[in-house]
Amino acid sequence: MSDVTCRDVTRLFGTLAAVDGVSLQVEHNEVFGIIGPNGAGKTTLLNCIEGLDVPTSGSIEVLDLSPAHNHRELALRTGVQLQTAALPPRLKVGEVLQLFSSLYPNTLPWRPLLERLGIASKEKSYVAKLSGGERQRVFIALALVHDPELVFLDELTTSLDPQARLAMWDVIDDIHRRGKTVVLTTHYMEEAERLCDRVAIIDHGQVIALDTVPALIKAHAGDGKLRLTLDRPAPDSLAGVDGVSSVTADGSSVVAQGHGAFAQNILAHLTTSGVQVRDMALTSPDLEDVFLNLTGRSMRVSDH
Amino acid sequence: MRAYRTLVATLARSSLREPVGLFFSLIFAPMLVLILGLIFGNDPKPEFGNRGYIDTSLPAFASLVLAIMGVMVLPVSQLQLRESGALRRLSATPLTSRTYIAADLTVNFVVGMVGMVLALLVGVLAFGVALPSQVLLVLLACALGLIAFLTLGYTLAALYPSAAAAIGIGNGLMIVLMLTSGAFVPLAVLPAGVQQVMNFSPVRHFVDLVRGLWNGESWTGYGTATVVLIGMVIVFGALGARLFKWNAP
Repeated sequence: MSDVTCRDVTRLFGTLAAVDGVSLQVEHNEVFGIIGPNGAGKTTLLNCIEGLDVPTSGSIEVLDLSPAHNHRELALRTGVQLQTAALPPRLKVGEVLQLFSSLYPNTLPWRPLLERLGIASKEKSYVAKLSGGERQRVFIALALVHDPELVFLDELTTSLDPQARLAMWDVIDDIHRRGKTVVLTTHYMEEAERLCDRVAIIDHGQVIALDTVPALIKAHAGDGKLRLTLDRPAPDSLAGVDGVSSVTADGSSVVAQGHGAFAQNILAHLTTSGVQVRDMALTSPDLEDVFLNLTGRSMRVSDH
Repeated sequence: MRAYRTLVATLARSSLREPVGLFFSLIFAPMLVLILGLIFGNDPKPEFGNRGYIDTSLPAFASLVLAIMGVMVLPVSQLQLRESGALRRLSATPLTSRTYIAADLTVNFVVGMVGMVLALLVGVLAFGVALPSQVLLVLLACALGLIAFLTLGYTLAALYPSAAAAIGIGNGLMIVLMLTSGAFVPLAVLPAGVQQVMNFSPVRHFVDLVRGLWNGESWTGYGTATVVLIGMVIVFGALGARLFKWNAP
């Protein structure tokens, strides 16, 4: 049984469709990523799933309940971390945990929870005085204090420095290992690659791709990515080389993606064309490439 | 019940740690009694019916607490919680709006009662105003007035477009209510026409009721004031509860 099912969910703001016909399912104990650029509709979709917003049309089931109608039951069984996370001002960490613990009939002891999240020493600190990473941990603690089955994390690592972001990934791994289902949104592709079993890529409110990360890369970005610096502007003929799926050229710099032996084929083609290679790197493509290939944005493919 | 109790304790901490709000709810009115009392004294004067300025004005100073809390402190803090997203986060828990409103009103009620009693005590202790014979009735009237203005605050919190607008509009409303309370300009010295207009101010009715009870008169003589205050509780209470929003638009 799926933990979350969205069927043709649309959320209009006036005439603008922030979410436009989204259908997806999240399975039990999976880490599911909703990814896409800022303004793609990720948070609006998540708000609808959390029951904080109501879709204009379509249906949503969370743990076989309706987020719009079973608010209390779902509040007991799901935990949320909101993008614009806020609390009543001038409170200390321990006071906030105490408050949220009192709102649920059954809760985990919160001091061990703070310990698990690495902020036990902050119990007496004011929430406002914490660093960005510490504050996000407090909000995760609040999302976990009632030991929910399903956890929603909205842009958890946005505004964190790289080190705090890495540490946060370990926290999410830990939640996953404890058997929870996690639904998260992010616009960091490397974060989705590292954490998510499956991702839905959202653009302009629509799901443009949904699968495991390796499957998405294989389907939409090929086997490899070749970066070249040449001794002269790249010849247009590169896009026609066998196995090449896309070429982006900026003067003498070239990025080519493709399947099979496309890299050798390109080098052979350059050799016969008399072009010298000054610098070269062959890497695996990533989700970033998938997104660029799917949307075509900021991608200047040579025209033929 | 556990949620209510913890929420009361937490909201109380949050607001008691805020010096500006605390000043306006607890210190401002008692301080005004002290300052204006020191300036004008409390000697009997013919225009106050051979009573002193503080004797006559003390209930009006208590009414300042109502005006400040109802049109400023409560709506502004609620709007700030809503705009920051704190209320939204609370709404994603099993907490009901009924429990939240009850806890929030409890905190504001206790703070407001303390503020009013402090203002009245300054008059009694510093300027020798005679204690009322019916202390409990005076306190009951204060509580009724406070509840009436807190429910008004809930309605205003839903109507004000933003916290910034609430501060602006609230300041205007507060000045009108203060001027019509009789704290600064004793009503007795005003022309009859102005006094007529002031009959529309709810603060004015509250002040009349408390002054009458303080002087030992019977509550039954204050039908209009009672109807005005209970009417506010019913109308604004229903509106405020109905219009309460967790989310900023």
